[in-house]
Amino acid sequence: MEELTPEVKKLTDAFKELRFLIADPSSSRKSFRALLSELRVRPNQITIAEMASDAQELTDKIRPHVIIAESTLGVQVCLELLRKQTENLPTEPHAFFLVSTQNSNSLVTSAADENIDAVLLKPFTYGSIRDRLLEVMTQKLFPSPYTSTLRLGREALLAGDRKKALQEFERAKTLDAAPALACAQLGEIFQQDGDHEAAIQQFQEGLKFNDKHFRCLIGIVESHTTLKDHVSAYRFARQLVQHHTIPLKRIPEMIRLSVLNQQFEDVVGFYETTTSLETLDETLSIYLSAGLVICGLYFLRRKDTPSAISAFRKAEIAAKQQPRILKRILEALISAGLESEMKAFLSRVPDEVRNSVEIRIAQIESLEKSGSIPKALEETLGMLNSSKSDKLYEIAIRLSVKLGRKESLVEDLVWRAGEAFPDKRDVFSSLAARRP
Amino acid sequence: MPKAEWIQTQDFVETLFQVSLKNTSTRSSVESTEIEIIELREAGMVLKLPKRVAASGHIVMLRILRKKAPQSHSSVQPLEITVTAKISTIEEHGANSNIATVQFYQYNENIWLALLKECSDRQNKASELIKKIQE
Repeated sequence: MEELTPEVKKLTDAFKELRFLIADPSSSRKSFRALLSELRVRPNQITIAEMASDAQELTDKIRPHVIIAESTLGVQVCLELLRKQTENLPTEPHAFFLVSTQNSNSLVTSAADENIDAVLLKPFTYGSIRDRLLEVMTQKLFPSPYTSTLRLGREALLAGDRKKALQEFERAKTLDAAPALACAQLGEIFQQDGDHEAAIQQFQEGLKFNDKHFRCLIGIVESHTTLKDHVSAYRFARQLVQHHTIPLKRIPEMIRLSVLNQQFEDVVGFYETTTSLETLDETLSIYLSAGLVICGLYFLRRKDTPSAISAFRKAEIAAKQQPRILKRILEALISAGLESEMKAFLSRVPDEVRNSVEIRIAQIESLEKSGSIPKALEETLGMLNSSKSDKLYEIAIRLSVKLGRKESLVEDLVWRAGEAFPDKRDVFSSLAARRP
Repeated sequence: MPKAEWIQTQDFVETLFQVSLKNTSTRSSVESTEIEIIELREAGMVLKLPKRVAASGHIVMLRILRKKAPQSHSSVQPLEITVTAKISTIEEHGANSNIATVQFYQYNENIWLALLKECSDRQNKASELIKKIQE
């Protein structure tokens, strides 16, 4: 076994007190075992979990200080292991390494945003995983006074001692020349308290030390958004994107901000980028398509029909057949009287979407709007034979009243609706009471 | 300063490795979908292989391809290297796989070292991104 340098020796001495879990359903364990062995970790300090369920159970049972987890366990499982590890060791140093074959910048920043300490990219070299492990563990086991005080603050927060956490983070501010992270932590406490003005002050102070600071920028965007100051939130979000790859889970928030600030060209930019990717996160596609529908509605209000149709077409592509979004597009086309676009739209959507309750309701509303009320009612009553929906009952009652159908028929409808949806009886009765 | 895009396609570009194997001792072949590269070494690799593909001491031909996906969003060209290697050790890994350590015999050293450097740079870049988010 090779001789260790004094720095590594100091670290390996500290390793003697630690427990290691390698959660590896695929193949990396051999390399990590060899590495830990070189770093004088004894075999009885290392536990291997092959399956996600074992990894979760062992994280609670052995309370590992170091977890090396393969991303093939699944994102949610890895985040759960991290959460359990933090919860189980509130006052002890711990580190989480994610081993992944996926290696895009987006994945790495998303992992960092979840407080994963390092992402080890596969295939790796022995030297690269060794360097990363030593670097992270040195920071964890021999932290600077600043980092150590920040940790005390986080421990106090976990223990529910807000006052002590505030004191420690304030003290940390005095221990570093640019304590932006201490400011971000203080800001996050004020955010939890709902005091967003105080939070913004802290984030601004942090940004004076480092105008690119990720957590201060994210924090200030969130607080301004909560205070409904969307202009300021958008300004800081733009500052954020100048310096960082935005983690995936934050992108919907950015789309929303663009929409709220009527920066519709941004939403189109999101569309252009994401549609060129082979896979797109489902939440992201919903936000994106919903944002594009709002873009389309905005263009309609400005009487810019070609831009509106283009936005709806993009929304349709981004929606990936989500009936809820497609229904909103259909409603928008109906309300704008764009009948030929509506027909073309319906010819493009697959049968299961075209026959979904949402889309058929939108078509019924279109018939009603165009004056074909008997046809709309016939469609509604036909649908009620196979799908029970409160919205369908409401339409059926409203159309029956409009057409002046017999009182007994309307009452029968109200009774059936009330039986199916007892908590909406009042709504159904009030619709029936609108009889002229 | 020009307005930055919210998201850039290159932030979603992945680096992919594919390796296919021809066992010259048994004259059998394995497709890239069945092989995983775990570790790269100065003159060798650690691979996960299907069971009964190779045994210790066998001579194999490896074709290693590194590419970016989607390629259309990357300026980096695919890189390919063919290697003659010997299976130096083989260990059982579950019911269907083995972990093999291979030692290269004939290969283009410049290409291989460039590949190693690229992997090391990629890891360093990932660590920088993490530091920027967590500092």
